[in-house]
Amino acid sequence: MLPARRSHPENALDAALERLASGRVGERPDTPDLHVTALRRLPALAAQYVPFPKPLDRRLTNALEARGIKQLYTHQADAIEHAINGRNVVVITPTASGKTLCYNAPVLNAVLQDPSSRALYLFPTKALAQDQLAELQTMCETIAIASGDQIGVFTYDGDTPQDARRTIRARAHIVLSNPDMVHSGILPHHPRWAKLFENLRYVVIDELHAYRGVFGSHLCNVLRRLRRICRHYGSNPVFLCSSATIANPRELAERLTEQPFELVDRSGAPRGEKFFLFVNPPVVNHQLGIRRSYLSETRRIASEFLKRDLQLIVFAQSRLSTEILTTYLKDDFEGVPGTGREPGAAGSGDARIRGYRGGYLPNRRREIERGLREGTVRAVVSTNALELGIDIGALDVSVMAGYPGTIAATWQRAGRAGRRSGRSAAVMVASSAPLDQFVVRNPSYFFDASPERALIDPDNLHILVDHVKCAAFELPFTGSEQFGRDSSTGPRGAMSNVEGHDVQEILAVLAEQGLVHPELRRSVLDMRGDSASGSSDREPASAAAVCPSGGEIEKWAWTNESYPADAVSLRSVSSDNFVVVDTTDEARVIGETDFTSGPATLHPKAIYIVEAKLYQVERLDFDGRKAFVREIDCDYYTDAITYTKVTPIDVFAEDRRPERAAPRDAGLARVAAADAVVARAFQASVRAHGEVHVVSRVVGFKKIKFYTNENVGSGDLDLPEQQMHTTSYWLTIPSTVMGLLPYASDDRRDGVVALSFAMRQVAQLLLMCDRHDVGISIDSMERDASADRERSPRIFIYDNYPGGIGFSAALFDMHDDLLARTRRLIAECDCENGCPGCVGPVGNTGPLAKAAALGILDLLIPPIAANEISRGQDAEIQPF
Amino acid sequence: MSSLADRIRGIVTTQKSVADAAISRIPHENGSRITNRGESRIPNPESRDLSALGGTRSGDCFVVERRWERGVRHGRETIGAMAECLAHAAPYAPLFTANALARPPFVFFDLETTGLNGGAGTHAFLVGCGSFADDGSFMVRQFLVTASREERPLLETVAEILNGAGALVTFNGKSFDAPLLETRYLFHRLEWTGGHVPHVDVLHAARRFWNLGDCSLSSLEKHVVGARRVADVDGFEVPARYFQFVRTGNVEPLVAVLEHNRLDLLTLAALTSRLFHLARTGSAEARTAREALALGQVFARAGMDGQAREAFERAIALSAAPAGAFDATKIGALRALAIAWRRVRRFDEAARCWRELLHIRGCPEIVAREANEALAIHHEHRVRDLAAAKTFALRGLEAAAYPAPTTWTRAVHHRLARLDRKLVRIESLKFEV
Repeated sequence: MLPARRSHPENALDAALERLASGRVGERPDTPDLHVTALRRLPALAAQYVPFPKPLDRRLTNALEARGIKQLYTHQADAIEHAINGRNVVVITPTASGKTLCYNAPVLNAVLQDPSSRALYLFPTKALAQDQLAELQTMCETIAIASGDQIGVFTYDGDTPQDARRTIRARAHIVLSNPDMVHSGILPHHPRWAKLFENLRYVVIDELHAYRGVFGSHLCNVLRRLRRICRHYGSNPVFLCSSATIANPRELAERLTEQPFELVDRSGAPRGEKFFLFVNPPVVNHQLGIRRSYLSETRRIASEFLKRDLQLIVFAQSRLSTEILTTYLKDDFEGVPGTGREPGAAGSGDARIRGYRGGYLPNRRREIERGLREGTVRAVVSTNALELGIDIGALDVSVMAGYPGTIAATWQRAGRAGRRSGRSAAVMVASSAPLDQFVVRNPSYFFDASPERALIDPDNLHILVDHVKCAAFELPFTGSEQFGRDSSTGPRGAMSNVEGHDVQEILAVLAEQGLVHPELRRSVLDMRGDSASGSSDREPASAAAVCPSGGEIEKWAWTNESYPADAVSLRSVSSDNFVVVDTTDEARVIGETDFTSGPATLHPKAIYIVEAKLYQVERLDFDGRKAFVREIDCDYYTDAITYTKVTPIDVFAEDRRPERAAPRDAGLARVAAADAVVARAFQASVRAHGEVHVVSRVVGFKKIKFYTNENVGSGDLDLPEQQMHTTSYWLTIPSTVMGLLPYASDDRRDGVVALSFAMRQVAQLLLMCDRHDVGISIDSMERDASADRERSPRIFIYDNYPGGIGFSAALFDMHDDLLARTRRLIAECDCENGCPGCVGPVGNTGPLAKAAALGILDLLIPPIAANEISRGQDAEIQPF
Repeated sequence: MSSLADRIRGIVTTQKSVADAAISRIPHENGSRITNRGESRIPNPESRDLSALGGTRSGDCFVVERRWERGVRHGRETIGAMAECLAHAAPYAPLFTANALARPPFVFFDLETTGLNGGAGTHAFLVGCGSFADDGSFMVRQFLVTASREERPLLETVAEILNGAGALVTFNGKSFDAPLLETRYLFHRLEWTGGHVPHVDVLHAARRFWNLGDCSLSSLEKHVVGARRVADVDGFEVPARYFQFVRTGNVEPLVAVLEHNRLDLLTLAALTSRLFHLARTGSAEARTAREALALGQVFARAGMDGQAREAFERAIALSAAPAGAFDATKIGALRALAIAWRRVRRFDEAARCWRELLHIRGCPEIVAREANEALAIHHEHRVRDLAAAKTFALRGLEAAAYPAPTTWTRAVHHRLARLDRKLVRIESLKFEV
């Protein structure tokens, strides 16, 4: 690197920031109504060092010193001391704060002091394990050169060749793997790993925050199985976890591992100065509340940085917007001279700006990561695929197209730009979605509030049953064994409403199905002597399962030919996926898509985009899970239209509103007089949650022109349905309430649609979940022929995972808050008849939708409660 | 039952279909329906009637012993003849174990398992061990796990037998039975010593000696041993039959499984006796060209060059194909013979074989290439017929329509260039003279 370039990025960054937002950085108050609503300066922090802790092996400290590490940051020393003393520890510190040393040091220390020690590292992706392998191996080479101690470090995942596996099992001190491989490749074969499990000292879980929702619930069960196997081999490993900033790292670690944890959350690492900008695209149509497209705004901002040769990462919300933004930026910088390092070089324009997302083949991804580290790639447009700690070097700027949905993810994405010294910047460009609008207009919500809590529900019955099967395969359950923590104690997350299930009851059902077989305790048999004599006089131990014939069960033996782990995928409903085959020249696979999003992205005539290259789907072989595409030159992309229908199967809880409610809005005061009518209205059930059946089908698509976002055509589709059992919260709007609304029936229906639009956004905020974690659907509002009146419409907000993940029960509990906040969101929005920031754009709903939605809420919310909630929140959190 | 049980049932039933499919494939025996569901009673392992298996309890193990007397016939041979063959041929056993010191007593060994997938949940519920007694009879001991607590004592007993063996003989045991059993020992944290005992995997030899398509034990039994089995159990049914026994306590489905295992062991013994016998007597006893070729390869690997060449010649002689007609075995034998001759520096004999190879229609290009190259070398360096050498080198290139390795092509071009230089030099010498 040229010495003259050292200061160049800082000057360039200042210039770019000056162009985007004038005003003195750091002293500028938030300005919700301006284009740049916030410009915050996060000051640089100095490093805090301490000497190496005493117990660390000399060979290790020598090796560290040889690599330039003469002392430790305070948080590293804290974490290492906990780990060496056998305490589980979770470390939360920012990116690039040297957190890997927090777990590498105690692990290497243990191996050096006792070469039989073993450690298992879990990373959420294979790529992260590869990343870490390189670092650990360099470290171990240094140790080997200095002291001659050989420490074996290997990755063990789906890519490990069969013939290398035996060697790894024999020689690895440290095994780097992922939860999926532990689940399907290591635990079911634990006898072959006996050496590892007998000597397992540490289990390292990196990127702990990635294990939320379904993935986390699965991991918790995988860890239950892991600890069960460790007990079998007589070991009791210490867990070392690291996490990005979330509100409840200790709780998450404790929930995942069902062990007590120490928390290390004060970083001693230095940090460079960082600027954080919130940008709200300007309103272009005040009446309709339409803002400039956030994608165009992102493109403009990214260009300002790119023009000045600052290296940047752009985060988009979806695979589609990733491709659209890549296209825009490539268009802007294709052939523009003087901006690249080697202008005029063939294809340099192409290589400088890259797209990155799940579905790209691994080789392409590695190439892009390398390009970023080496600086040849100047900008990458990515989905959340690059949010995790893949080493892409230190970039200058991170631009987010749309609010990432959670505070934690936003910090994580912002952290991809930044160095230990020197300046960096992060820019969040809000879309017109209500959540984005709320955040961008209330910057302190983001900057001053604590980030989200990560939630899991390991006792989701679907997930639990799957893992009980796997566990029974691995090691027979005894007649009194439980699975996971004791259901009466231990920390429980706010989201878990279900009590821990009795594994013995699950085993009994598995036995009915012939998967396991209960074997009776021998002593009982001896006592009984003849099987014909009754045993009713014998009291079985209360904790132990009892078989129908009255004997005490000793253990449950696995009696099935199958290999249960093969049927369980930790990440999704099914491990099924669609591959995309390019048939332009000779057929080759250019990407893949998971099963659930297959129909929406790969339907016939869909435009499939890979790094700004457009392909059209010619044929979707649904059963063969293949989409055949051909390169095409066109100026539009496609957006699928999906219809979803939700049918309740089982109601877990519901309640009816008390009679005290009365409308408070002046406009509705006249109906308040009809007390009897109102009282009847509130007799009907309002909130409920339970098990539902969700059917969704892609029924058509729209063609949308690049840049202008004009709708330039559409098409119908006939694709198979996708079905799912899950849990849902639903709001029933009694038909009597509907009847009280002073609007025509079409307008009333618009009101329900509008209400659901706003409720979804608020639900997402309350649950602090990702956009895709919940789905929404409205009951059909046809007339009930038998009763000759309008049915009571229902708004479903369902968990977008089979079996549910606990959101619906939480929403049920937060029902009052949900309605009150939704009301405020709508009431306090400045638009006249609805906009994308509250009830949805006017085009989607009707002219009276906003008013009707408010009317419904006024009838549903007991005025006293509404006031209380509103007042209570004014104090602590910026309300809508 | 509680609603929780119903919900679990709903989840489990949608997931399982494989197990049911396996069950439904099993024929009903004696007209009685054997079900695995709805069994409300858990059988009492100690009071089950196992007498139909004809075994005894010894310590914690359930053992079934069977003996075939020497006069009994299994296919073409009597038990006694097999025993004799093996006894005589014992010194030749190392030919089939990559020279590990295999010696009597030979223990024939076969597992019946609860699945083919491996992993901690796959068990060996039956371990069959067979061996020949001094009086020429064949003895099989089968250890059956009737309850999972019996597995550990069973493994301990089996370990003693395996440790006493001079060699283990299995069919596909290197890839299946031994690793699976090793897993069970590891599971119980017992030492697995089977890995130290020399191991003859007859499947590997069988593929070379008797290439019978699928090379399954049953087709070998039919075609090589000449025995016929009636009412045998299909391998895929075995786990389901065992699970039925576990669930119902009814021993009936297992009777045929034990018989199946015993016959497998007997056939394994017959095949082994045939293999060892061939090794002892040499290729004169080979019945087919294929047997002779495979035998030659066994000898060649052991460095028994004379016997190897004899076997290859016998293979060529046994080939039924007329001269020049395609015969894969003959091609293999000629190539092996050529290499064998070359090794003992009998280059003319080797060249004769290579030439004969090139005359066979449909000789694979890769072999033709090798033959042409060998002949080019032969003519350049030993016959010193440069023109012929060039012809063979060029023919080798022509034959290389099959994607030849570039290093190889480069070597040929190098050779051609050298030949051309030599030819020019000879021309110029002629001119000077």
